[in-house]
Amino acid sequence: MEQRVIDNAFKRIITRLSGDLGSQARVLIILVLEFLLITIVVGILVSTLVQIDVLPRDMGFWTLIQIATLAIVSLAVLTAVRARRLVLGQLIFTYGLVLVTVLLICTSFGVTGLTPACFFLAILAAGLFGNVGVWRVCAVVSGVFVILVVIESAGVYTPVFANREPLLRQVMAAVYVTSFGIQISFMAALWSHSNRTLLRQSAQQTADLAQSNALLLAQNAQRLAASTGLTGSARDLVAAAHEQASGATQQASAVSEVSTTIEELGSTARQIALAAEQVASAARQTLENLSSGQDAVDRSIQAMDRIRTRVQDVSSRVLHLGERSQQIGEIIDLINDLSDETHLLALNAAIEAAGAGEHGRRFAVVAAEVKSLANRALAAAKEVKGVIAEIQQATSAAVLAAEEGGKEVATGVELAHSAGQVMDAIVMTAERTAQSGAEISLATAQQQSASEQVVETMREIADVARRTAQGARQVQESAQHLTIIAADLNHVTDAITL
Amino acid sequence: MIAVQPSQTLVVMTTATRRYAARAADLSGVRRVVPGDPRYVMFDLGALLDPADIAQEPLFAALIIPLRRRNVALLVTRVEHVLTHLPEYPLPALVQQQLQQPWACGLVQFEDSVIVRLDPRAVVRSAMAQRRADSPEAV
Repeated sequence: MEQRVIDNAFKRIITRLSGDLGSQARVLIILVLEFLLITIVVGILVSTLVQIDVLPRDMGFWTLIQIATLAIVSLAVLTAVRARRLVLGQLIFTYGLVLVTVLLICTSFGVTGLTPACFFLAILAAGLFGNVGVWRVCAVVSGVFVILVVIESAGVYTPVFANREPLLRQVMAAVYVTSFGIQISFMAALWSHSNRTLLRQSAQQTADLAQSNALLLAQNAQRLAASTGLTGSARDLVAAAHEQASGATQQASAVSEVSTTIEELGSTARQIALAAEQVASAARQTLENLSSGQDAVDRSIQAMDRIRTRVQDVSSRVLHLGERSQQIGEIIDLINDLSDETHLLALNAAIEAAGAGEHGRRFAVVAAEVKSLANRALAAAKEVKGVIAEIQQATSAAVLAAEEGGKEVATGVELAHSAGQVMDAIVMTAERTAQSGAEISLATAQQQSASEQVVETMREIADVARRTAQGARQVQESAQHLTIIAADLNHVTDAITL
Repeated sequence: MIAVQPSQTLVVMTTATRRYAARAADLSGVRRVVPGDPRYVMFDLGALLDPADIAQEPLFAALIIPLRRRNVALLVTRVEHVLTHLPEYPLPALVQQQLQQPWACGLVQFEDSVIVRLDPRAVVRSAMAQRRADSPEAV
């Protein structure tokens, strides 16, 4: 972007320095038109003076000749300009002016009159154009004037106004001086305008040049900074390449260590596979043993169940026996009561028999026997009651023992069930152990294969790391070269900036 | 001298710790009673005679003594025998005068021991009098 701006500025400056062709063509055309206009005005004025008989008719003829010559020159100039031959047009105009001046000298007052001053117009035009050699035109004009002087002195021709009346000579002198002054003034004005334009263009070009210089300076500063950054980047690149080479070497070493470790892991995996196979075999053996143990536990559970049923039956029977003993005790109590009552009846009978005296003696004997019988029944009942009490005590003990036995049997059954459940759990665990052993054996085999693949991959990685280290060393060398180049560029940029 | 009186029909009974005798003629009979029976006014004979002689079990045997308006039941542990022709020795008058209550009236030799013969009517009268003194409305 900035480079494009600078290039455009230079292009514009160079274009203007090479010459503003449009401006020069415009100056040339203006001069042609101005000369045509003045010539036409002078021609009209001369024609008018001829018509009113102020000027002779041959004056009109010569004037027309001059106007025609000037018109031809102007047409030639315009044609050259139209054909973009500006220098040719300027030459035609300059030397056309010389020709017209020669004609004017010959048809007016001669070399001694005022008209040779018109040669200055050609010289001024040449100076104004800049492309036509002023000194060359001056030399041509001088030569032509000398030739005219020689010719006129030799009498080859006679100026038209040489021998005319003074008034006519004065009028024509006035006309020529006026037209010459106008043309000189116009060319001076053009000269001044051209100088101002040139100064303005110079100032603009100076400003553009200063701006382009500023841009160049800024660009140089940027290049200086870039070169400084390039030096730093090159230094960083060297350090990075060094680190990369070191890291690649370490990586190769680490990969080698990892390969060794993975090989050891593969060896360990083989050992694990063997151990897992042994575990699976042991688990299968344990499973077979547990199956027979589980059968024994099942049989013991069934036997315990039968014992519990028997114990419950015995307990029920003993309880029934206890109930029957209780009933016997109640009967014995009834016998006791009857014996007591009988005893009391016998006592009362004895009392009554005693009250009856001799008549009641035999009744007293019966009462005594009844009392004795009641006492014996009471003693027997007491003895039976003692036996019943012992039976009840034994029955209660038997019931308690049966209940305790039932509880123990129930506990044994629960323990047997628990043992069965534990055996089931052990069987399941053994099955899982056998299955896990087989899975571990398979997994370790796969692990061994995978570790071999990893070892192979690690070897490839180590090879890549070694090649990376070599590449890093090459990059390091290139970066060192780049550092040297950047330092040189720094020196060059510093010289340009200073 | 202690004189042996002619034979009478005696009833021998036992309390919790002791054995006594009474004339059968003083009793209307021997009964089996239920505690709280309203037909009788009941007294524990052993406790009346010796406060330490207290039965540990309920007493159902009773000597029935008829009074004018009520029958009194003297509760004993057991009535053992109705006997005649037992040697009996009345208390001497000097001893009888020194008694605090006139409940004992003689001694009876039974088997290898000597037992006190009671006057059940005197015992019942004293017990009824004592109960009236303690709680008049209860009797």
